[in-house]
Amino acid sequence: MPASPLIAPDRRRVVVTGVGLVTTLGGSCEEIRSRLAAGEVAASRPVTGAPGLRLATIAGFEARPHFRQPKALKLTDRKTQLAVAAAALAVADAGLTEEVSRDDWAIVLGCSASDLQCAELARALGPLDPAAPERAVDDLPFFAERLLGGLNPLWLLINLPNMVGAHVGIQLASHGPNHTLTGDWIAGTQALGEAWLAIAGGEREVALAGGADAPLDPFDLGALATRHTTAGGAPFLVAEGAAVWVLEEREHARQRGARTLGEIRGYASTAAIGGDLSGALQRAARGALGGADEPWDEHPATTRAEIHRRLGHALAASGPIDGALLLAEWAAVEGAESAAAGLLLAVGTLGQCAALALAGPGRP
Amino acid sequence: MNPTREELRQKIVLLVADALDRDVAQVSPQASLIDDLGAESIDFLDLQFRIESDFGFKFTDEELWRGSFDPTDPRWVAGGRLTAAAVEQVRRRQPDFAWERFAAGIAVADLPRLLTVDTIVDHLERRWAQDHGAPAG
Repeated sequence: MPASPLIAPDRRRVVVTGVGLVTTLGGSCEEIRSRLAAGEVAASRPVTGAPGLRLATIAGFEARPHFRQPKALKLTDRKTQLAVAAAALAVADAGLTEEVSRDDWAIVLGCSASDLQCAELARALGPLDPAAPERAVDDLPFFAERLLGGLNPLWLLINLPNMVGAHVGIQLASHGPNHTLTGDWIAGTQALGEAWLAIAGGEREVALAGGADAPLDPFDLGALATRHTTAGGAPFLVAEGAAVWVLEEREHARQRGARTLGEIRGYASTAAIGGDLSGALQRAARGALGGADEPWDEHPATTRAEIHRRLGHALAASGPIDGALLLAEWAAVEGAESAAAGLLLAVGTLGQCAALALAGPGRP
Repeated sequence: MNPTREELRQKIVLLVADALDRDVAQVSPQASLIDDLGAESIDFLDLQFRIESDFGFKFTDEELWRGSFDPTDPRWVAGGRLTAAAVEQVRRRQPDFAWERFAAGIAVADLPRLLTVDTIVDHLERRWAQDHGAPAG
């Protein structure tokens, strides 16, 4: 199996040196792991009209302390606030003080699409006459007066799809490449992979990557309720959260004496064309492990049977921040001394797949 | 019932404090929204929307900072700067403003920096009189 064409033979090593977590189960890998191990489930509330679907929010979350410019809070939605908080925590955890230049950091974050601020939209739209939808399409003055006229002009700025990464960059005063991936449930994993590519390929020395989401509004919940129903109505918990990781070129991290949590060794992203989801996952896994120079055909995770076995878990765990959170889980499990390899698989609702090959910090 | 000037002022102080993420105590009626309170162009969009929503009428952002002064009138503007007569007029209108910032004169581009809570209140009073045929208060 050849290495993924995305990965140059002379790629650089990319290590994880910091993590910032804002979740319903705590703010550290150790806390999340111990609470999961104890069978703890985040406190949640039911969703009206969607039996079995429950929502979990982060109690007491305060975004303001994490904003260098608090006035920007009015330009952010919940998931952006969670992302800014997680990014600030990750930077602090990595020991990246103000003395370390932030000019060239890459910021790559994943989330689901904008939540469109439903309450704000509802206020702006108000009661519409039956002909309004048609007129709004081809009568610009009508559209401006009846629809936009009642909408706060900041609404658009809050809901632009790239705002998650943009605000993290603004608050960290980072002026490097800035991307927000909206690949739905695998966006967080894709973000980690794209950031890895930027460093491994020699473009950047430091990147912040991960995911953030707060799928608590009617647009998101409607989609989730449909999915929940079609999946048989099993209990389904929707939670908000963010997980951001600091990735660094290994020598860069060594030179500043950074602690290493682990390493990303490979990445691949695929799509289930024609509905072959297990095939797509297998290709993603092979691509990521190829990049890690692993003997892929000996790796149990790449066999079709193993993919099928893991598929249920992957689907259950998926979400925009899935990759980042599972990476947190992996880091906690493997510990500082382990050199074990791991494979992170993520699956999207439309058959998108992403895989990251991982290694512990002790791996040569 | 017509709102008094003080009622209008209290309302605008709250709106400005909220829009600019400031404590109410920081928003003095004569403070420059830009120079003293850190307002940016995007904040004026926000403020305009909040004021329009609260008072129920529309106006342009230029109306908000221009007040009674017309920068297109040649009696008031020469070479992109306010004439001595215009400077005297705006200084008379805002006697408690920190005019030392403009010791070298006032360019037309500086006019938004003159915007304060009180100049917004001035505008609201003019609009009230225009729309209701009687001065506020």
